[in-house]
Amino acid sequence: MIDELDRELRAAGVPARRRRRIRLEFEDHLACDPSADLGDPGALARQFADELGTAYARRAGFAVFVALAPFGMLTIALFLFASVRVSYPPLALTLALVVGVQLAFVGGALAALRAWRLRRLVVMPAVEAGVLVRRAGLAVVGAALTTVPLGYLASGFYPFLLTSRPLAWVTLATGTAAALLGSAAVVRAWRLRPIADGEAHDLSFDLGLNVDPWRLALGTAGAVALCITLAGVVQSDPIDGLARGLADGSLCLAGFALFGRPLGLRRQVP
Amino acid sequence: MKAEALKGHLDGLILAVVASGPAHGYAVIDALKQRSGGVFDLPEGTIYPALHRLEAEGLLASAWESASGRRRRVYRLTRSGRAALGQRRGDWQLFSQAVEEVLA
Repeated sequence: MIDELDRELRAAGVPARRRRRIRLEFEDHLACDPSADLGDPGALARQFADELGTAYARRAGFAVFVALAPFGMLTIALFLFASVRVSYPPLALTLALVVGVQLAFVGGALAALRAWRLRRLVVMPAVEAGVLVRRAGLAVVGAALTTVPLGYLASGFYPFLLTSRPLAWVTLATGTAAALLGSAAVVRAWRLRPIADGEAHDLSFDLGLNVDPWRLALGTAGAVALCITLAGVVQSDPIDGLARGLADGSLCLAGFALFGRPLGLRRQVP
Repeated sequence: MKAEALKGHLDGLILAVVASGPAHGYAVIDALKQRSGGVFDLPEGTIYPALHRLEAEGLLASAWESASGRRRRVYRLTRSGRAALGQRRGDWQLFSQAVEEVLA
């Protein structure tokens, strides 16, 4: 029975180290009671994969958020209070910073939100776990991307006048540690995923709303466009405000279309 | 009692057993049987995935120990596990009182 269980565990994707431990525990159990009925090996292996995979996926969602939160706060502090732009930075670095920060924030926040919504679930469908791990993974990629321009900034190559260089180094060190810690949790969850059938929820589930996700995206894009247009009106430049408002609103919708699947913003079926 | 009927309560039961003192898998199952007067007679293997999951969630911690020349994984309750057990006890009291009120 134990050899068969080992084969089934391997087929379910349970890592070798975990399989060895399960084997030893079951051998000890049978030594205590040789007539014990431990159950069907295939069903047991699926239960191990489902329950552990669910716990790992949820933990990855929380771990990435907790690891990235201090990094996010330090990055905001650095750019708000400790730097003065003296010229435009290279485009690639600016893009890495802008995209990285947003990926880290959106991915991390959505991963933690979904993990929180599913906190009492013993077994989540494979598709749902995939969404959680992808969100956490994108957040880690975003954080790693952000550390590149931060490294330039801290080294003094970046065209920013820093009023606190130590803060830049602390931010960079925190970001690197956060990316490493987060990636460990993501890799562990990616290696052992549940295999249960079922659908994944969408963005409206995360937010506790009962709205079609596309309507939500349209509403958000419209609100962003309106705010920026109004800001242009206040600054006596309504045409520029309208142009920037439309551009940012369109970018919101493009982001939703582009990241709708990897971030699980739309409903997903296997 | 069928495993299906215990769904949703198994975690609390395991945490309560381990709260009495560190125990290995077989001892947890045996305690569940004894303390329930034989009512909770689960398929024995199904307890192990739950033990592993509770450990992955940080509610249990475990370590290898030697017993009769064999290696044995012994589980103990963590601080988070104790808090979770308190929460589950509260939930259960509320639930069972409500059911009793309705059935009475």
